[in-house]
Amino acid sequence: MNESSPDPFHGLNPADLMAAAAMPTDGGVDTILLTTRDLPSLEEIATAFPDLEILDLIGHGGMSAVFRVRQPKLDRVVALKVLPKALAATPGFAERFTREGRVLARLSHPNIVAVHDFGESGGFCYLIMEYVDGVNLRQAMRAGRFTPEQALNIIPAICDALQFAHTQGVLHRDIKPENILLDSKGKVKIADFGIAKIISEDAGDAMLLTQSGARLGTAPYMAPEQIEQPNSVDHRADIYSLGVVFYEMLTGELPLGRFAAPSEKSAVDGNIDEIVFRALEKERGRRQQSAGEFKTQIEGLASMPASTQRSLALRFQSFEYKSKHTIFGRPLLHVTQGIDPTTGEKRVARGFFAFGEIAHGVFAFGGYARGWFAFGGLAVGGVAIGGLSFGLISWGGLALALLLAVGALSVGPLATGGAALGWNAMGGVAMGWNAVGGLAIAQHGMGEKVIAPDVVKSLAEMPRALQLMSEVSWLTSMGSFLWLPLMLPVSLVPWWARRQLEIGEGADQAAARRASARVFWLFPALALLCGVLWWMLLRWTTSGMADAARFIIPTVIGGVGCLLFVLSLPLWLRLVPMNSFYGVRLPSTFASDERWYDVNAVFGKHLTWWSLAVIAAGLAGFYQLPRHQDAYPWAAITLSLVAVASSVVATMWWMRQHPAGAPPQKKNRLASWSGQVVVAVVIAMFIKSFIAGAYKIPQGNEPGVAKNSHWFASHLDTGFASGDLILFEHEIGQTWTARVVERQPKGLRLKRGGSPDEFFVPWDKIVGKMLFSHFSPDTLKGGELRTPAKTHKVIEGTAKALEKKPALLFTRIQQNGKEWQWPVFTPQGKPVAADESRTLIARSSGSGVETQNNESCWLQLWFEHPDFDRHSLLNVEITGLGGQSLPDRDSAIAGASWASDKPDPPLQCLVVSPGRRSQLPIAVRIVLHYSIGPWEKRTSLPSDFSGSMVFGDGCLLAAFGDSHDHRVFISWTKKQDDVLYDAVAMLRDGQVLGSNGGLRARSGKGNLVERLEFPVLLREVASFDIRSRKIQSVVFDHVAIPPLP
Amino acid sequence: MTPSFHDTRWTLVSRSRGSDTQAKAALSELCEAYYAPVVAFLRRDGRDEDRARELAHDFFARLLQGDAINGADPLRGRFRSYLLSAVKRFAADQRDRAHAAKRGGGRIHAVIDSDAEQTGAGLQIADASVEAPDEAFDRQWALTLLARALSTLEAELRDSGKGLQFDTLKPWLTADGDATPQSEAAAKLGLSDETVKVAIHRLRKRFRDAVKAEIAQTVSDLGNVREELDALMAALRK
Repeated sequence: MNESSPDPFHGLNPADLMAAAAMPTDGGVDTILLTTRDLPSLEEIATAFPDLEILDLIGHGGMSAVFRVRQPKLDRVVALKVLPKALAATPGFAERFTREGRVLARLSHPNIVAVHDFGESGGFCYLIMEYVDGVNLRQAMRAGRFTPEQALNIIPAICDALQFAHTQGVLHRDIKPENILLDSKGKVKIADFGIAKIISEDAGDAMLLTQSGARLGTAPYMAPEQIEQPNSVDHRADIYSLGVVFYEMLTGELPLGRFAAPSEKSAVDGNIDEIVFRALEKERGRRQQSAGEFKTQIEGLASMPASTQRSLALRFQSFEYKSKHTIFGRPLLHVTQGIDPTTGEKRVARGFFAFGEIAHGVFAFGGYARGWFAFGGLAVGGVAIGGLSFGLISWGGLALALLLAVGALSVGPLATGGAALGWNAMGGVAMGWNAVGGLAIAQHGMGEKVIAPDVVKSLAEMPRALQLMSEVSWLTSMGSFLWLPLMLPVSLVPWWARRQLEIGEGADQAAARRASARVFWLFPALALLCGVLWWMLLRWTTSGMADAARFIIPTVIGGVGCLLFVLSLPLWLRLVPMNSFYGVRLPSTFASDERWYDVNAVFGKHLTWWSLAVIAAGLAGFYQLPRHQDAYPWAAITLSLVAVASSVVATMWWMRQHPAGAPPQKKNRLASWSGQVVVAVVIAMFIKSFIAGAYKIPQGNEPGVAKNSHWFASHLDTGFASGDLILFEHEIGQTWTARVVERQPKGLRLKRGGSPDEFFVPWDKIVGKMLFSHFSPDTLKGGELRTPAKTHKVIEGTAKALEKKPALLFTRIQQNGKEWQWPVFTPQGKPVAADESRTLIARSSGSGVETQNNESCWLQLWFEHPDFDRHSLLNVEITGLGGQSLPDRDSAIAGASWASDKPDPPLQCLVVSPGRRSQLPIAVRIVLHYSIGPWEKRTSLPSDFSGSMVFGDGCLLAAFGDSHDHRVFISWTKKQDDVLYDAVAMLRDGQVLGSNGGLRARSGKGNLVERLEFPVLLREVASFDIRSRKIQSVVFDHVAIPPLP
Repeated sequence: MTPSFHDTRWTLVSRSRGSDTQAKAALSELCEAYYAPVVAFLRRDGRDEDRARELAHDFFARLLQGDAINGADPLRGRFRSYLLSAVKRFAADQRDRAHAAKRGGGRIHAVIDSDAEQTGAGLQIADASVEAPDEAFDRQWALTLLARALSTLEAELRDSGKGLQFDTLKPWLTADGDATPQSEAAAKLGLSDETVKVAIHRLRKRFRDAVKAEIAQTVSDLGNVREELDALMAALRK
């Protein structure tokens, strides 16, 4: 009993089912219809091939039958293709078959059905091939319409197979959908390579054996030359057939007669039309000349499959990107463009970072931007930058602000710009309460043309705000460069957001996302570029015209470096899509997409780093010494050329090491190391010649330069101040050291330590300036290095300002035993803030002075001279205005303590008492005795000296030795106090040590005794160098005593 | 399932003229399978469901007993035509007898039978909207055959563990694949688009095989399968 199940037809229409069942067969035998006389039966086959287990008949074409068989020996299922007996009997056929069979067996390619074996057995010519468990293209086309993407996925595989076979010299000649197999995993395999050639060579008789329909069936796929001159067919016939198949896949029809373009019949764009038409050219010279070329063209489209259409849509239509992360409920990043199709209104970007035509956010960028920081055409917000800007701080074409407005037309309480309107206004035209400008209309106005009741003459009388604005006005004009870096995120971030949408989700899309994030490296790159350009511009504007001429070449070099950087960085970041004119064009770069990107990334990387070196060379050019003016340009140009050449060589080497489509070769250490060595050498040469170098000083004539010391010198002109130690080329060819006395237009005035004479050296002999010393060999031997805690290195006096007199800057008075108070006063008695010197004064003052007499008051005097050192302030005399001595005065004098970290502060003090509290004069006369400048060497005193020695006029050695607290002391006497003597200890280990302090005292006979101490023991001292310098004095006639605090 | 290796059931029956056990078994299988068309015919012929069934039982019993129903030559042609002619004769006989029985009793009535179950042949109202019994038979035959083929296909697939494939891909047995995007099916089955195409093609092929195999069971000469298929297709369209 046949009970009907709920729905025996599963919801399908029975009539349709029957129709489907009745559909005609499709090339393969799937029913028991269509027997041909040529077709062998299974039994026949089984007899002819006793070693095989015949399973069933897969299909048959005009000339052959294919069976599914099993090879018991190998236990695998293969396909057995059998050619008709009649064919095998044709004379010469068997040899041809064997010959071709061998060729075919060599075609080993993942997209070609492999031939395992071939031969003759039981009267049949046969081939044993790979069994492909799947369908052929015809069946697949029937099963459903091919989308363009699917078609584009299959064609490149076919091209690969064809290209491979063609390079092996094998043509297919019978490309048609029945010969293209898709296995169950979707892999493409081409079958029956060359079979047509085996069969149709010598054409004629063999072909007649087929069914009448067989040959005609493939005719639409045959190239014209195949039909007309079959003997001259080459690989391009396969291209034609491929074109036909492609067309049929896209449109479902054959390109017969005047056929329509694929883009008219299916959803592909016009680029495919060109490829197809070209393949179908009657003249084979006009077709693609290789399957590889066909594939490249297809892949050029296939690499932008649906995403091209999508991105085209996105570019011109609307999209929206919201980041997953949120801050305070808003998305971190929200990018929009276009019109929301659901509401029909313009999209609005709302987020922490908002980008869009309308953007609201904390940081908003867009046409209409609103936020705490807004940048755009119309910007509203806290800080608004834009064409039209409203905000607390506004900057733009028309700027309205509640605080500060900067702009062409600016309105606000503080306004600056072309036309400024505000409470405090500054600009070309300034209107307000206080205004400064070309035309100032205000209550208080200043400027060229002023319309104001109160015309102000100096900026100092204007409110602080205006003074500030004028001080930073250069900043606002430079700051207009700010627009460029802000434009970058406006274009980059929407591009990035669109890429994220296109990529979608998925595992290997994570890599694509990371790849698209590489674009954000452009931000620091642009910052670097802007910095370099701004810096160069700054140098141009701050230098005089004379200097400007020599900036031209460095600017050009720097510009070339920037250009190389800009061109190479996108290649390195793989941001440039594959194209024919921008990028490396060496052979094999176009082998595949990936290859092109890889090669260009390598080239870009090398060239980017080199371009940084070129930029550095350009910047160094701004500081070149005149002697390098000729060599430098050539060197810099050479460096640029080397940069490009080296990048090309490195790229070619990389390409050799990483051939396309093959595994990379073993790393050749020698080659890569030698490459790096060459680069290092080139750059080191440039640096040594033009930037800096190392020098060794054999002799130690110059004070401050130890014997055999190694110095690092700069070859750049960074300004030569007096006292700087420089190197110059002597006439005899050696490089000597000297100190700068003065910089002159044509050279430097120098003085060597050995002689008192000064001399002039022109610029082209000046080698460079010593920067610092290191690794003096003597310090390295002999155990540990001394760590001087409170020792003082010897300071050489400089000749900066020998003629200048010290100035009395500040005074302060305080009672005995009380702490110093603020403020300090000028010698005229006015209080000053003394901000800059305040720390110095505080540090150097000590808390106060205390002696026995409580009534005494102490006057602190601060003197300044650029050349002061610790030996400078000696004595101060204080008298009344007429020179009379002051009564009841404590005669002690206190000096500064060395608490400051600068060993030689130009500001130092002495403390002296003007009298008692009750008897303070109104003003006093001060005479300062001081000593500055270079020392004169007197003599050298060996540490084992015994006897007496004269140091100078009236100065006699008194004694030297170890004191009770393990310090070395040396003392001398002198009659007059017009020369200052100092001793410097030359230690046995080569160090040079200054004294730690000392005493001066007057003996009863009027002699002065001076004593110095050093923090070493006598046995460590090799000798003492005695030096002296003149004591000078300066008189301050009228120094007002400030009021007691 | 290649029919060339097996004799069809009908061939068995026709060759042995229904006498040996094998043939009998074959015949009974056939009858079991194609019971529905007979019922359809009998219904269309003017009987209600229950009566039609009763008669069908009767008919098949006779057939299986080996009563050579006059006139039908099983050697030639197809089982369907054979069965149809047999049922026709049977039904005609049956009616005559029934009418005879009714008329039996000497009384002559020329009255319209109020019993709706038995509409006399002479009083058959030709209703254009209702199809002729022949057509009903053919139609039901085609439907039965189709259903059998489909269930065979389903069973085959479920046995080999591809039940989900069958369920997902069966809509494609008829349409040309344009209705639903294949990618959905691909996603559901966890296969790629190309693999789905291949699977659909296979399904269709198997279905066709199944249908043709079913048809082949009922024809003696395999060359007639095509004709039979066309005829059945035509029957379904009417």
